[in-house]
This record gives sequence, structure tokens and C-alpha cells, in this order.
Amino acid sequence: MHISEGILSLPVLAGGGVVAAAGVAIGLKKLDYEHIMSTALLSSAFFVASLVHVPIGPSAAHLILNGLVGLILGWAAVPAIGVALFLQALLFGFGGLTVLGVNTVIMAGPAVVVYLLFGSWIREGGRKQLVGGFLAGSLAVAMSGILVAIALIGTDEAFMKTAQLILLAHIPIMIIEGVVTMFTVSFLSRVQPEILAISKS
Amino acid sequence: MRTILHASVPVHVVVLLGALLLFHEAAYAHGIRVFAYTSGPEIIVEGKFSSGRATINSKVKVFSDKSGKLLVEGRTGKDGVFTFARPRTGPDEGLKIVLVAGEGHQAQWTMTPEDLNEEPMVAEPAPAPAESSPEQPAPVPAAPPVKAAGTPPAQAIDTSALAELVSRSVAREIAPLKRMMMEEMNRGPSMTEIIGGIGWLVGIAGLLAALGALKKK
Repeated sequence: MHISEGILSLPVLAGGGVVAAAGVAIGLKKLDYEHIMSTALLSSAFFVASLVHVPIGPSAAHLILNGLVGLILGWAAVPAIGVALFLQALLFGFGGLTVLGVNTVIMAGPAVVVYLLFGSWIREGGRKQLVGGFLAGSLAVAMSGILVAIALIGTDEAFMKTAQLILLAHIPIMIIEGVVTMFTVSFLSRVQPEILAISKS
Repeated sequence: MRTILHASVPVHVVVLLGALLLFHEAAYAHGIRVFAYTSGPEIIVEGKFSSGRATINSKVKVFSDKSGKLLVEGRTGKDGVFTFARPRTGPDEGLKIVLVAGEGHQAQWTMTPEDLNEEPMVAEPAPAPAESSPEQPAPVPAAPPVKAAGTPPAQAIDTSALAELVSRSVAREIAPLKRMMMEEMNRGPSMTEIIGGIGWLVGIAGLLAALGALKKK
């Protein structure tokens, strides 16, 4: 779901940059010393996840894991995802440096939203935790898809059509991410519950 | 530092990371690349996802890099290839080839005027006589001129036809090589880059942690 360089207009790029910078600032402020390493590891997970492809018919989509990163890190997901995207642009040529802000908003925005919606659910345990994990994983992908379509308004791709295409193409990924996030969260809550409390502080 | 590691490094995230790396063998991703090369009178454009999969039925737009005018437009076929006749371009005019794969995927390839004007057909006949003349005066001054006077007309026809033939077959033979080179240049992420990226992330975290530790003191 990386938007390539040379597609978006300057105002969209600048707007994305400003929002992303604000998010990174909030995230860094909320990130405390004890959790820097966990943040880096989740950032690495996000960095690598884009290389894991899931074949869907003739097409293929990759894992995103922004829901998981958001649930665990909260606002700190913004710098974590932003840095990972920066390195993906630099090393892999995914997206690009000028689109970095917009791509950060696309991926990290939903991460923060699912944290705000489901963050408390996953700390409660039980069924609510499982449902929260699944919804966070899948909705984060869906929201990213919608954000891509919104960012592409003003290019020659019509919003509704693009949004539909992206959402349709990502339905399998949404399910997979939901399941992965659900199991990861429930696993972490059993063996290392303090990780799930990272974003609380 | 020890407390950090002890308190919050999620071992399971490390495991997850390892698992993701294992998947890399079959990994695809959605970086997108386009490259183009000449093959005789045609230009061949190929689109690929960074995984190596062809971009099927994607829009290709060819612009003049000088005037920005749209010269050719088309779509890639099942193999991700779009072929078009070489458009007429000025001596210092190149082509900008844009591949649009939809949903925010786009890539660009530039062909410089040198890339376009590599036909050797026009000025070819000249070197042949030039080659023979400097060597001959010393060893045999009288005999060769007679021979040379008799043969050139017949040879001249042959050479121009030959030159064209050679340049065409060379173009055909070279095309796959050009393709390989372009593909090599356009490779998807390698293991080195992936591990390097993770190294960067851990390094940045280490730096932040070190700064935090200084502040704490």
C-alpha cells in the first residue's frame, strides 16, 4: 500500500508531511526510555512484513502489521512505522522520500486509531481481547486502504473505484492480519503481559 | 541497558521477526519497476513488481523528456511487456516512460538520446576504405591500387546491406542481454538490504537508549 513517487500533488504531499511530523512528535514524547527496544523490534517487524506476500488469485498483497504495531505501541507506532517506511524507501525503493509523510499517515494513522478503539479491550483479556485483536488487525488494513484512496483523490484515479479495488484486493490480507494480530496479542498476554501495557503509559 | 532488555524486549517479537525473514524466499512486495530498451526499430518496455512478477495490463505512457508531450500510450500484455515503434525524436531528445499500475503504483524510466540513437547504419561504409589505406603504402605500393579500383563498387553495395543485416541481428542478439542488465539493476530487496535495515532500526534504538541513559544520570 505504498504510494509511489510522482503521483501525488504538492499540497497532498505537504499535508501528509505535516500530519506525519506531528504524529512522530507526539509518539516520541509518549515513548519512554524503557520501551525503546520493544519499539525498535516492532518497527523491524513492520519493516520486514511488507516483504511477506500472500498470493490472491492473479494478484498479491503483502502483510502490513500496522494494527499489531498500533495495539502494542499506541502513539509510539507513528515514529516506529515512519522510520521503517523511511528505510523501506531508501533500501527497497518502496514508496519514496517525498511520499514518506503521506505513506506514514496511511500506515500509522490507522495504527493509532485501532489503539484508541481497542487498546483497552486487549488488556481486559478473555473473549474481548480476541475480538479486539482481530478487529484491530483487520480494520487497520481496511483504514489504510481507504486512506490510500483518499490520498489519490485529485489524481486520475476516481475515489470510489480505487477504494473498492484496494479493499477487495485486501480482504484476504485483512483476515490474515486479523488472525495474526489476534493470536499474537493473546500469546503475548499469556507469556509477557507487560508488553501489552507499553502503550498505556 | 540490562533493565531495558530484561523488562521489555518481547522475545516473541524476535521470533515473529525470524519467522517473517524465513518467508522471504517466497516474498513478494509491491515496489514496482519499469525498464525499456531499443531493439532495432522498436522500443520494448517491461514492467515488473519488485518481486519479479510482471505487471499485467498496466498503462504505459511515453513522453518526450524535452517537450513533455505524450507520444505513445498503451498497455502491457500478459507478460508485462509493451512494444512500440520508435517515435521520431530530435537529436537531443529523450523519452520518459511512465508505467502506471494503479492504486498508487507508478514507476518511471528515462531513455536518453544516446539510448535512442544507437543505430550504426548510416555512416558505416567509410571505415572500410580507411582501414585498408594506411597499411598498404609501405609493403606493396603498386599492385593493390589496381585491385582496389576494381572491387569497391561491388563491395559497397554489400557492405551497406551487410551493415544493416549485422546491426539488426546484433540488436536481436543483444536484446536479452540488455534485459538481463536492466533486471539486475532493478532487483527487489536483497537479504543484505533487509538485514541492513533491521540493523539500522536496532542501531537507532540503541542511540536513543544511550541518550536516554545519559539524561537519566
